[in-house]
Amino acid sequence: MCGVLGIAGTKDVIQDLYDGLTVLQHRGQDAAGIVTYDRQFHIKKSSGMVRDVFSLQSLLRLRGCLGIGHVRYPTAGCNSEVEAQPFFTYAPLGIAMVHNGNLTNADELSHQLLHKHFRHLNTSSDSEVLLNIFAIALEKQKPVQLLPEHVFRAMRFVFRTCKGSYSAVALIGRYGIVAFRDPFGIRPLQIGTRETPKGIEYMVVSENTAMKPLGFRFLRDVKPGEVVYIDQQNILHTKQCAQGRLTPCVFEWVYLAAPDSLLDDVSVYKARVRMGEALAAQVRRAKLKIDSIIPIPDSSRAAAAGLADKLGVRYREGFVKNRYIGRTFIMPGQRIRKRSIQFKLQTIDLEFRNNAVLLVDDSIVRGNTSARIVEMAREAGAKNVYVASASPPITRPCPYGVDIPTFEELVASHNSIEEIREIIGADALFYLTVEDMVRAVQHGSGGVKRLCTGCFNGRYASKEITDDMLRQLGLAREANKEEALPPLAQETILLH
Amino acid sequence: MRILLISSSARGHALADALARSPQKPDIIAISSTANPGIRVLACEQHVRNVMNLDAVCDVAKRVQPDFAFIGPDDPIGAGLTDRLEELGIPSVAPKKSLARIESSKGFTRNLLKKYGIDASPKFAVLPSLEGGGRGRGLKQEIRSYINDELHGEYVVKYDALKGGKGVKLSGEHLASIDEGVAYAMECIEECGRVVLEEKLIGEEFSLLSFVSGTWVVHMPAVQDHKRAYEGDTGPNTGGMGTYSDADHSLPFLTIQDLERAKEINELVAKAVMRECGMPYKGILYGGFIATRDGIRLIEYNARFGDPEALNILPLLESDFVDICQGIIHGELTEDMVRFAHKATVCKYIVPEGYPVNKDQKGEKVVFPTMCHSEPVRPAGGPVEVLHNAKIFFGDITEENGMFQLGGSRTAGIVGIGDSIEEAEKIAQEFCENVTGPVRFRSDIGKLRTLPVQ
Repeated sequence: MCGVLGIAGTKDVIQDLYDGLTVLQHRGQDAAGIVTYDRQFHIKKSSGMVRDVFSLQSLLRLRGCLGIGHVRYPTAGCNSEVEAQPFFTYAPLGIAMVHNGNLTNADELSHQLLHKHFRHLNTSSDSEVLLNIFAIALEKQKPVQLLPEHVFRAMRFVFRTCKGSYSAVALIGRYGIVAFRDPFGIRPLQIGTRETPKGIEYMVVSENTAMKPLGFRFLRDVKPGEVVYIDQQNILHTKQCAQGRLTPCVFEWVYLAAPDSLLDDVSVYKARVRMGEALAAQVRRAKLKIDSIIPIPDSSRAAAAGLADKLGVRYREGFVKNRYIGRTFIMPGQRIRKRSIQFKLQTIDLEFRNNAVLLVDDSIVRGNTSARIVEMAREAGAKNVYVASASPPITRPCPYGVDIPTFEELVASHNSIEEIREIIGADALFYLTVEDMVRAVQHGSGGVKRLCTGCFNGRYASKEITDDMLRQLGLAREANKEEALPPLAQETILLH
Repeated sequence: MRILLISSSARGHALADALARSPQKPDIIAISSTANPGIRVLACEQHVRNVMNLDAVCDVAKRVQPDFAFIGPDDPIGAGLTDRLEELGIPSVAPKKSLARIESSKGFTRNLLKKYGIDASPKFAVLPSLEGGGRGRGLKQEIRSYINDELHGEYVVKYDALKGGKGVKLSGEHLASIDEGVAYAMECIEECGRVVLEEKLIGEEFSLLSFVSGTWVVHMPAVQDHKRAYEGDTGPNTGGMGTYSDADHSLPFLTIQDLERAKEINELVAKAVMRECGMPYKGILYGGFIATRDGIRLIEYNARFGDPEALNILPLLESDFVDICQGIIHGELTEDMVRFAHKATVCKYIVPEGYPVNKDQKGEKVVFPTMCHSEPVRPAGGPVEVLHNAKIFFGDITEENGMFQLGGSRTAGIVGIGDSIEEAEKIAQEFCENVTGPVRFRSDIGKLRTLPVQ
């Protein structure tokens, strides 16, 4: 998961890009980058949070009314500065690109790019592959004067060639911004507009949470298989270049997206409340005496509220989150994750002492976070500690860019619910069912007929995903990570 | 297949009819400014909205989620409805605002032809010129001397924006003296910033419409329009009292070279406007030409179907109109997708007696004849039975329980279709004569003796 952002403005867009990326920070804290265009490309990217990557000096340098930005956490690439996005290529026309998602046939494509098209890839990132595939497709159009049709025809090739998930925004020098969403629409991508005295401005962004603060009006979601091109006069051109079948990742609603976002016409917050509400029946059947329901901040608050409401049990805040540290889920590598949990959460002891508490989390991925939290609750004096997960057991890795890479790391891939309960040390454990989760997202929405629930039950958006393929993706990634994480790099991350 | 049709009047009816004939059997969702009885029968939903309220149109579009939209009239196109629908991901058969300047700005079009070396304009000037130049007195002087010295007092003054077909004034007809001409030109500059002054051309006017998608241009049969209200081409200008087209898709007064030249101009302009705006023109390109002694000249461009031109052209279309629309949108328009019957057509407009001077007959009853010979058919097109070689397209008219009431504007276009103009004229004429109510029509349109020849 990453956050992408592109703005076609009527004046310098750097302030909007910087602020926009800050709002998108929840989608990735590993690296950030911006490219703007003003007769030449200006680029700044590095590892770290948005506020650390951009100095005042670099902001002053990033001039131009076209720009794209990216916040990243590592999925396919490794955790290093050179793999921060945007990626850039000189030919044709100069293209910079940011990408959210993960190509599942990146290895095959990078082989083709080198041996058939003689293009060098400087990193192992699939995003660089996507950029280069787009570049060769655009070059074939011989765009002496780039027209929307050139972009659309090039994109048809990209859609045919690239498998996996990709919501991407590209900046083509002198011409404008191209944005597209894969034919399943697995990752979100949305368009907003802002009217200024000098004309209409457009924004393409992962989530509309970034629109309101910047004064943009939410227009709509980019459709799966659709291409959006905003030309040099800020005129919007869109075209359905591949047949789309909307199958967005359900995990966006479970955990990834900001609660105030509206993705594919479904409110993230409302979906989470409904997930919590759907847990109530199960919990009631267990006939437990529960004194209070306590969310594990931040993304499970909505679900906890929904559950407490339905059960008629009081809702209490028992954990204080240190907001100056990144989300643990996003930290690469298991070792760092264990350490950072310790000072990310602290208990309010009086809310636990002699109480039976039901802790609500949005999901249980590896189990180590949950185990540590249950332990903390007991240390704070809780009499009974029950745990509810507002999503079903995660049993499979994600080939589409969410960092749950290997079967081995997933606690639910090789343990039963009872075993997991034991591993995390809870007195009772509840999981939402897949059906309830899907219903919670679809509720009241005519648009989202299918959801990718692959990590829960193996029903991935596209059929070509097999367990073998997942194993390969997973193994390859873990090997990369160990290699690319010298102890020093870990220290740097912890300092943030 | 769902198609959003934004159009009213007889043109909208003719468009709906052509779409409905498609073997793809599309669902037509119509947005019209009045409850047109012809469109109502053909559409599965009809929304009555002010089509210039783009927000209201977009609200319907958002809910309906059509495969594409077809926009009939010039005003919403000029206001950027295509751009707004594109924001919603809905492609349109109609150019974007920037490209639609070909119709909405007379000055843009003249300068475009000049810039791309397309020699089809009369002598013209766009004032005030971009290089600046005088304001106030100086500008007035500039206009006067241009009219006097360059155009020798035979001139046309064009308002440089859409004005509902009423922005163009001719010397000797609307403008009695040079003083009046200068005054109107100054008025135009005050209202829209620019005015176009042109040489007044003498010759026969005709329309050549083309389907355009970028550099793909496929032409329709040429049509001649009669704008004047009364017989013998007299009286005030109207939206169009009638039109005719010939079986060879040319017109009696045109040489082969004339028609080829008009086609060439449309093709060159499609290319030029694409290069100028950096995006392809997608929609209908309607060239208003005049055949003068010195060859074909361009009077103006429209970015849409004409009314009544659409009434002549669309019934002749034998191939799938929906296919053509999709070809336009996807940039894959080829000549073999467009096939017109080799028939002549004559369209005569039934209008209220007072049209266009007053609206005294508004609300009065009008009765259309039931055809009594040959086999009458009830076309998918409407509540009135007509012959298979005649068509009726409803304009400003309302229907309640089979009773028709006049509006203030043109009532219905009656189209006769035959092997020759003569035959088509007879069919249209006979139908029109049997319409009862306080209405009139021009019997001279399409009559052999009044046809101009080469």
